[in-house]
Amino acid sequence: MTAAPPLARVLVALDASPLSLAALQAATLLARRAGAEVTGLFVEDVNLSRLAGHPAATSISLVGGLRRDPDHQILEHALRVQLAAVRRAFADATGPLEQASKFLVRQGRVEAELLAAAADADLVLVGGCGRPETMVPLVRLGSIARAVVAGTARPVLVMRHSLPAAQPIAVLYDSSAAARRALALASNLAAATGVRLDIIAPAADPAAARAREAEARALVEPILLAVGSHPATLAEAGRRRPALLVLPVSARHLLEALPCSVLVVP
Amino acid sequence: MLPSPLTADQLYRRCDAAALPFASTAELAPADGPLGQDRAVAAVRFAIGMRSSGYNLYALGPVGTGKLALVRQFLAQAAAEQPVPDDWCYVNNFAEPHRPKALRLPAGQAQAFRKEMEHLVEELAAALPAAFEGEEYRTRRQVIEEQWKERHEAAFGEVQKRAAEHSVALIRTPVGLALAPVRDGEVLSPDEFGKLPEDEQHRYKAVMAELQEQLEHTLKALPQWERQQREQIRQLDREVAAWVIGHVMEEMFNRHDRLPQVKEYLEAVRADAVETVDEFLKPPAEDEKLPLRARRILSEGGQFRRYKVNVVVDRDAQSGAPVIYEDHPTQANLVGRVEHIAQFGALVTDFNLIKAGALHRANGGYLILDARKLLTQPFAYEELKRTLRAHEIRIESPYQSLGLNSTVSLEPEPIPMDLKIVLVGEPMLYYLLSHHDPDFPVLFKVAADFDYRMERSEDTVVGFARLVARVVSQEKLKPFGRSAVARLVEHAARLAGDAEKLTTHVASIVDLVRESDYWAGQDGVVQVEAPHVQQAVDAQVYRSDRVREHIQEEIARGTILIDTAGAVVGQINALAVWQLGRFTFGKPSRITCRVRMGKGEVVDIEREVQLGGPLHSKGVLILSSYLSSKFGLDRPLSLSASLVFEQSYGGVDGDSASSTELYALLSALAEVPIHQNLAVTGSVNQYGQVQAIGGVNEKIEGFFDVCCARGLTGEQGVLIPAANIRHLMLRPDVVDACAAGRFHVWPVETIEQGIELLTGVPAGATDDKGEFPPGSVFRKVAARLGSFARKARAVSAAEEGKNGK
Repeated sequence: MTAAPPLARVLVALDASPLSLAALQAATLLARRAGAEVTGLFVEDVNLSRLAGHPAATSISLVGGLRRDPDHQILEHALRVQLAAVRRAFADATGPLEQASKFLVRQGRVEAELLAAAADADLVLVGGCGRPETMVPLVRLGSIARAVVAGTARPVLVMRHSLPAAQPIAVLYDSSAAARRALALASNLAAATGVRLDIIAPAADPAAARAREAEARALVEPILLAVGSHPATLAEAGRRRPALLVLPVSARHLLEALPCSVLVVP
Repeated sequence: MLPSPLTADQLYRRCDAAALPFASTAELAPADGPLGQDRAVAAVRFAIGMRSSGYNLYALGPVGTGKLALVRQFLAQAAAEQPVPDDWCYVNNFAEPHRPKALRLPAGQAQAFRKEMEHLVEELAAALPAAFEGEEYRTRRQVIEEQWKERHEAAFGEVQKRAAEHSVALIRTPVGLALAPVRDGEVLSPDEFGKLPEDEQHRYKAVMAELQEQLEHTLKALPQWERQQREQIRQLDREVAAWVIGHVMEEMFNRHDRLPQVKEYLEAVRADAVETVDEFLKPPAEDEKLPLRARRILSEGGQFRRYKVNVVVDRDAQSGAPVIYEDHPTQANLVGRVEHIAQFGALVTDFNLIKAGALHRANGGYLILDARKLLTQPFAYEELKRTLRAHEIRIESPYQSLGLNSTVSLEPEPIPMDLKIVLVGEPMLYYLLSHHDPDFPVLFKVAADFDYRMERSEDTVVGFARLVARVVSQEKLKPFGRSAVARLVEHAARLAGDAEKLTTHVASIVDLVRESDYWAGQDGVVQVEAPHVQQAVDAQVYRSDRVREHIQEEIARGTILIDTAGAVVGQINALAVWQLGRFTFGKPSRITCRVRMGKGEVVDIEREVQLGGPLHSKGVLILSSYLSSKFGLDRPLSLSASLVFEQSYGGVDGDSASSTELYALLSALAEVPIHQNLAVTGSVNQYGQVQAIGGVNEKIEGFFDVCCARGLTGEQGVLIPAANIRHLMLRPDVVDACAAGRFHVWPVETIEQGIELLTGVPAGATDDKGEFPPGSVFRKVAARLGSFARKARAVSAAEEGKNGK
């Protein structure tokens, strides 16, 4: 079986949004199982700093719909509050961990800083969208998450909701090399968290799907894992709402449409 | 002419055992009805037959006359032929939950309906999630969500696109969205912006103003879009839910097609389930933060309590109309109540906690209540009357009725009522209610008046024997031989206080039957005979007569002064009756009288010290009147007399000693001694006629016991009113003594007879000149009164002479 990518350093992008905090929880959970180091990264967005006091910039409140000029003090204060909240959440989450963890603050453009930091990580976790879950999603996938998935060669876990405990992990297996790595990583995660692994084997026709399913099972079986598997369409795979869907990078395009948390494995 | 002492036959009317048409009760069919209560039976039958409003029944009679048993028996017979009334349930009122609805179902169907509803909820809890998990629903919902997501994206995408075209970025900040000029993905710093040509700056500002306008427009539309999306999803949910629920409930609707009320309720259930379908899709609330107990309370009865059916009246397996006896008729036990349970320190309730009352259970039949218990329960009687007037059972706590309850409670829909109330109680309560409560005669039009006695005839004696047979049969006692029955009959006459009557106090007879059986058992015989009955009577007396014995003992020892020999002026033996519990006995008392010159007044010392009751005072006033009319027609009565019950330390009432007091007064005036071997009872009227009194048997026996203790001389005896002869049912030992001439009972009709018997001196009747014969008692009285009058006149003249100086 193809070896799973190593999992020694976990990077989690933090911006105080509910999904970034869910990502932090998932990161500490995975890190604890794998004995990995956790790095929390907070980026002070240079664009936001520039907005303050900008003679041309305008701002509009999402809550009240009120128009006003960006206020330097309010923005700075809001950013400070965010940073303090994130720092506290990180300390709380990583406090019980035995292994090392660190919290980094960078200034610059968020995507760029994240991608730079991702280069040293074995797994990157980002929130699927920066806005609160209760708000109507303005876009299906946040621009940061999209940029990170597109820009890094590391596995990226995009959080769409908190990771529910004791629910199966699903993996999409399409026979590609990335799919084998995805299968290996998913098997490791399932074994570490003690949940069932569901293998979804999409194919053009039922016979091919069954063959692919058999191939995937053969790869997993030596690990003595509880495995469920079935041939399915991709749309079905997403609607099943597993705790986590592991996708090979070849199926990355599904990410936009899927409502569940997704781990993209290159 | 003086009366002769009564013969043994007159003192005790025997029941001839040999004349009884059976050898033992084993030969008799047990009595199947009441004894000697024809009037009451007719009233009960009438009340049962009258279905009109207000024909409720009050069964009145002394305790122990078998009222309750009779009423129950007749009601049970009538109810058995009447139809079983409907079942009743309370269900949720979905429109107004604080006013639960009452549902009527044919008898025996309520429990089945309750189970049907439970099953329905289970079915819905399974079918609805399945439908909402289904491919079709999910796809349709996803389509709606996608449509709205696309609409959002299109709207914001348009802004973003236009912004990008003009090198403007739409940036999310912690305090909202911002628009700013960018270059290569980065916001231009204020300095960089300042360095731009002025035209460029103006262009940026103009574009951003326009974009902001567009953004605002989009943001304003957002809440409405969200509402529309939610409404579309809700509509879809309703559509799916209505289809599933309709399908699941179809069978129920068909089954209850003929019950419009039930159908209406099922419609409400269907509408509610459609509106609240989300609850069927969510797992039950399991908040880990709540304490275990709280979670248990919350989940009690499931999250679908509102679909439960609270069966308050279940007639399953019943036959005929109900006959209910409510032993504890509190207001709540009658009309039902709404219970509460404590949840997190607050008392909460719902229609499931409505409890039925006796009126619910008896609806369509009969409810028997003890009048005294009903009247002693706060609010119960008033509530019962209100219910009877309104013909509906309304569950309302007294606090609600009085407007004292400020917490939210339920107002269950009233249930129509059609039942007959039977109150069982003492006559006094009946008379008081009739007199003081104007509603009572309107609501309780029928009185079943239970007699405490019945005629003693051959028929009633046989009926009495059958009653004994019934007790023997019901309680598996030994059969009663004819001698035992005869003795029971005699005792029943004694209990009735009348040789020509029998008591209808069934409880006393039944007790005596049981106890006789016990003594027969002690004897080891298989049939109860007269000696066993006598033993039971004696044992009853022995158990109760401690006080009587003490009094007799003190008389014998001379502590209580009663003479039974010799003769004394102005002193006489009177007879009183004491009742201690259910035991009555006679107690001899000494009455004395002293006279002197005075102003014509007879002083009743008992009354002066307020120990005499009004009847006693009346008796004394009557004897004063007798004296005045007999001796004071032509001159003023110039005497002063004092009458006293010696050694009396409690109250005295009744007029049965008035003749006795008159004899003492006459003796004192005439200075003729009264024989102390005699005792007297009887009241007197203004003409000197001696009238009947109560407790004659006990009184005679009381004096007999005193005499007996000192030795019967053959001279002793009691004077009783002649009208009391028919009441005599004396103890065998008294009868035997009289038969042997060792004791006597004289029936007296007039004072003249009595005074002659007591003094041995004729009373005397006036001749043509209005004078009493010489040597007669009345002559001496007249002479004494004349002497008082003369002395009074002399004193008066002397006083006047003194005053004249």
